[in-house]
Amino acid sequence: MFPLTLKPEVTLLRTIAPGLVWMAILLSMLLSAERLFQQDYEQGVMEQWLVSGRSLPLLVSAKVIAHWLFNLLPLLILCPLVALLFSLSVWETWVLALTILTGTPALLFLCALVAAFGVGINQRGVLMALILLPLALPLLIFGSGTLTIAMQDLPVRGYLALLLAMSLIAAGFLPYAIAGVIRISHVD
Amino acid sequence: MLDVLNLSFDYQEQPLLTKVAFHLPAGGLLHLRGGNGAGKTTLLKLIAGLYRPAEGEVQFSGQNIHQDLAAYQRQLCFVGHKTGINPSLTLRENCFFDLQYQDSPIEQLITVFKLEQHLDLPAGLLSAGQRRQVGLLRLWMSDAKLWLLDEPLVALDDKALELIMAKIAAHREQGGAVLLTSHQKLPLNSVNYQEYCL
Repeated sequence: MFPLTLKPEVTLLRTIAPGLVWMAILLSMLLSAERLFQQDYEQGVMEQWLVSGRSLPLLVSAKVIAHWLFNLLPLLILCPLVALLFSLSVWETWVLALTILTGTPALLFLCALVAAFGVGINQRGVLMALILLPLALPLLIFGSGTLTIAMQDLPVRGYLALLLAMSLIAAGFLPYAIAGVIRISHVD
Repeated sequence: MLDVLNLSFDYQEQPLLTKVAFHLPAGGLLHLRGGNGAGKTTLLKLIAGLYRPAEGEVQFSGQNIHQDLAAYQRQLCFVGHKTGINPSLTLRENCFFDLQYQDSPIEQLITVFKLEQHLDLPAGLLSAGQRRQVGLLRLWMSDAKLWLLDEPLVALDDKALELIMAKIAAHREQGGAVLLTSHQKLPLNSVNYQEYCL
C-alpha cells in the first residue's frame, strides 16, 4: 500500500523499496507469529507434545515450517505485484523473491522463539517487538541490502549466501531453543 | 508398576503436596480424590514428568522416570484437563494430525462415541462434552501401559461414561494401570480400586 500513498516518483520509490519491503515483511510476521503457539498452549495441544515422548524440537520445526508455507510462500507469489508498484526490473524482482526465500525462514524462527517466550502472557506484542527487533536487525540489513546492490548491478550472490546461512543456522539451532523455552514455561 | 515415593511439590513457594506416597500395581486403578486446588492435577503432571518434584521421586518399573523421560512418556497415555484438540481444525484433521491417531482408520475410531456426523466440522463447534470425548479417544488408540487421566468423567453423558469405564476395565484386564483424578465418587460398585485422598 505504501507506493499508493507516496509521490509517484520512480526514483523515490526505488530508493525506499528495499527497506520498506523488508520492514513490511517483519511487521506482517510479527502480527501472524504472535499467536503461533498460543492456541496450542490454551487447548492443551502443547501438553500433549510434551508427554508424547517425541522430539519437541522436531514438532516445533514442523509447526514453524507449516506456518512459513501458509503465511510466507504467498509473499513470493505477490512479488511481481510489489515489483510493479515499486518499478522493479525482472532481475530485481527475482532477487527480491530470492531474499524472501532465503531470509524469511530465519526471521520466522526468531519470531517463533519470541512467541514461545510470550506463551501465557498478555500484551505479548510489546515483549515480542523488544526481543525480536535487535535480533532481526542483521536479517533486515542483509535482506534490504541485497535488493539495493541488485539495483546497482552489483553481484548479490554473497549477500544471498549470508541470508541462507543465517536461515540454516536458525533452522538448525532455534528449534532447540524454542523447545527449551516451551519446556521451561510448562515444566518448571 | 508405578511407585510414588515421598513426593513433595511447592507452588509459588507454598507447599502444595507433602510426602505423597503410593504404589500402583499392574492391573490397578487408583482414584486420586481431593477438593478444588488440592493438587490432583499437579500430582498427575508430576507423575507424567511435566513437573519436577521438590523432594521424592516417581518410579516406573523400578526406575526413576527422569532417568529416561522420553522412553517413559512413550509408555503412558496422558489425557489432561485440557482436551488437546485444536478448535480451528476439523475432527478428521485433529485425528489425523494427532500423533497417537496416525495408524488407525479415523472413520472407525470416531464411531466409538457416535461422532461420525461431525467428522468434517471444526472441533470448536462441538460441545464441551464432545470435545472431551475426542480427547478421550486417545485411550482407544493407545497401547500405553499406564493411563493418567485428569478429570476424565467431567462433561460426559451416561452412555459415554459407561464406555469409558468399560474401556478402563478392559485395559486393567490386559495388565495396564490407570490413575485418574476426580473430586467425585467413581461410578464403580463392584470393581476393586484404590483411593488416595489429597
